[in-house]
Amino acid sequence: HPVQRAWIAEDVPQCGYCQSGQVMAAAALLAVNRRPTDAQIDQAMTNICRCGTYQRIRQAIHRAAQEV
Amino acid sequence: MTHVNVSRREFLKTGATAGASLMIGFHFLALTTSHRLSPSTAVVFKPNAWLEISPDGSVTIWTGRSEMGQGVRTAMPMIVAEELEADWRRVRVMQGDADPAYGDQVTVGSRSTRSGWEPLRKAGAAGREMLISAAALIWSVPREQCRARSGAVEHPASGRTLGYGALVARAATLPVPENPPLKSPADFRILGTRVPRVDTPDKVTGRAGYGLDVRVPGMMHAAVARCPVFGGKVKSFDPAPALAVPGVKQVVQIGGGSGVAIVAENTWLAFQGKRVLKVEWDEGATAQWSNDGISTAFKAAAEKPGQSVRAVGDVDAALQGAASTVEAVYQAPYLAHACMEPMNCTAHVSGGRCEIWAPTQSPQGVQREAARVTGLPVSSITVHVTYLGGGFGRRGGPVDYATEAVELAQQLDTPVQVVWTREDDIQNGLYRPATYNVLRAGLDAAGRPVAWSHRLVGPDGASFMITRGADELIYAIPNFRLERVVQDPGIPIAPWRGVGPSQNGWVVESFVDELAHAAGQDAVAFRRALVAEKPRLVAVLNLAAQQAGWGSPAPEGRSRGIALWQFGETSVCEVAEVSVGTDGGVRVHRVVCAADCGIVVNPDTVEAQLQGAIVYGLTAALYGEIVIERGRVVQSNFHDYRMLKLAEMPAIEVSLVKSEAVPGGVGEAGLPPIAPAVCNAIFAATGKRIRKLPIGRIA
Repeated sequence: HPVQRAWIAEDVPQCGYCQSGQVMAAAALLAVNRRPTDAQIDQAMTNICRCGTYQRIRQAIHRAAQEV
Repeated sequence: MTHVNVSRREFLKTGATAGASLMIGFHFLALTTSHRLSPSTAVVFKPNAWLEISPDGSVTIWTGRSEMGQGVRTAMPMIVAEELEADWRRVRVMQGDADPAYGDQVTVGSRSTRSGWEPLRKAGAAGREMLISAAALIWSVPREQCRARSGAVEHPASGRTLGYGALVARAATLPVPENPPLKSPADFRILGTRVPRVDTPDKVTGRAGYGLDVRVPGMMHAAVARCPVFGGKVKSFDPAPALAVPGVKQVVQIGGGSGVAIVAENTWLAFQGKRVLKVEWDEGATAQWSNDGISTAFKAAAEKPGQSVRAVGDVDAALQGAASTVEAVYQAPYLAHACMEPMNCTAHVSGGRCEIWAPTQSPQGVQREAARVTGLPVSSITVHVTYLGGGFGRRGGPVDYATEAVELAQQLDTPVQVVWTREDDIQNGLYRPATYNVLRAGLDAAGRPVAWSHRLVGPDGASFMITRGADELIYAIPNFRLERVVQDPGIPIAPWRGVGPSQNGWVVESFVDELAHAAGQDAVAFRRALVAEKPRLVAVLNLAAQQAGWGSPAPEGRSRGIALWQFGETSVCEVAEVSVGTDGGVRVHRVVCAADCGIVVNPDTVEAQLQGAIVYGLTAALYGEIVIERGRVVQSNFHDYRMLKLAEMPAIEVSLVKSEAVPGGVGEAGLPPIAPAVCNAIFAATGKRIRKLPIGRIA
């Protein structure tokens, strides 16, 4: 899936425990919004990441959006 | 693609009430848990515990440290592979069990790369030298004419090449050199590059196996009822309501009366059994403590001099003679680690052996603890290490999660997995200590600090947990004293990312900012003068200031704050750009981080660790507080132990100073400066000093 490929390209996960949820949430977002803005990503991505990978999550969503 | 129109909560609730059991089978064990080193029957080249090469040329590198997101599973093998001159594409990484062959395996203190640097390089280099020797013998040429390059040995003079696989049998017969020559950093081709992490593919496909995922044939699942008051004991309990839940098999007391375990066919049923279990607790002495009482007790304790931890010169005389003095009290709260994966451990005690699977930062610590509990020799105890869903110090020791599981396993015939809920984690855990800090400093007529006095009140604990970071400042101040006063309410503590520096970084760098302000000097210039003799600190200070645009106006409505820190041998400086709304809400827009961590093993991982530590520290600074009420923790989950969300994330820019120094460690270094950088920015914005965390709203 483009989201998984983007996650790998950006090396998003650290401990990875939240990442299944992050990937699912990102895929759901891109399914309804092919080119989300930062503000739309803010609103949709409410999953908590304790390791603080948020910046890379955002980058990876933008990256995946270009592929979808 | 189907539109997701059911929330996760709805799905789980419906599934449960319909009686569906969420059993998901994984065969991950072979993929991601660790294995014991066992003698191989096939001919392989295995000169040490770290590397193994097969006749087909594939390279296996073992890691003895725990992967909790800090990237050690990739970084450590990169070090071996570099010196080995392996072809990284042919490298497979395996997690080692608890084993003395790996040396000390405890994964704490940002130490893995630092302490592994020499031994791992030697291990890889030994393999390389033996492979070169093997080729030279096979070709009957002087070994000086041969060189190793990316998985093969070459003899340029004759144009001959042999892949490592072809050399395995011969190399395995040669003696292992004790002090093989190491490569020059100028020749590094793997180290210093952005090697993709080896665990990422598993982590984005749901294949990664954490402690909670462990499934062993015949295993039972357990939840533990623990006294809500720390240190409390079981007075009496009635197991009948729990045993009445179908699937609950046993209810047993563990921990010398500190808890009651409910053993069931699956985790859900164990939780249901725990809910209806009747326990009467003997709450004990800690029940008298609440937040207000703790603060009052700390404040009273601060009235008297403490034990001197470190003293230089004559602080009292220097304060007396100073042109001006500054005084402040700083208070930091208890904090929880809140790992995303709650505590858990799987254990089996049977036939004179003990086998454990755990997401642990300390497999050998777990082994020793299991030996203590069972009376078995360490050699009869196997500890497998899974991926950790976050560590942050919580899983490094004390290994309470393992003690419970082994004690329970001793009373059962079957393996058992003890699982903590998020509530258990937040309320029955181990905490970053709360402290109360009285600071006094004296400045001379030119505004230079001549005296620094710090009286630190906090619970009983090792120096690295309480006083480190406050005991030796990076700044040249001729008269210094740190005193320690112990006041212990009985809340159990453990190292929390950054440890002593996690609270002392905020105290020290906030107070230094107060001194700069009192001296009428710029925060950067003030610090630069005081670290003039320390070029690595000056370099990161200047780099961060430059990247942040310090000295030029901040964007509309924003203010900047700075903090400088040395964590081990790593120097780091952070500038935070912050705005404070009319409602007092604090928004951190941007964090510039400049770091010198010595030779960079994997720049991608280093950046990620600095970013991650900043987020961890920022969350704590803005929201983090564990409130104690009658010896109990008030918070229970993420709804009241607030976490930074993606929408609140600042833009973090990391700049690394190129260095030839030995790797300095980065897992924690980014954390101590973030709270003071943000608080110093808040002061610049509002004139208000944050002397008590969490920041919350600015009144």
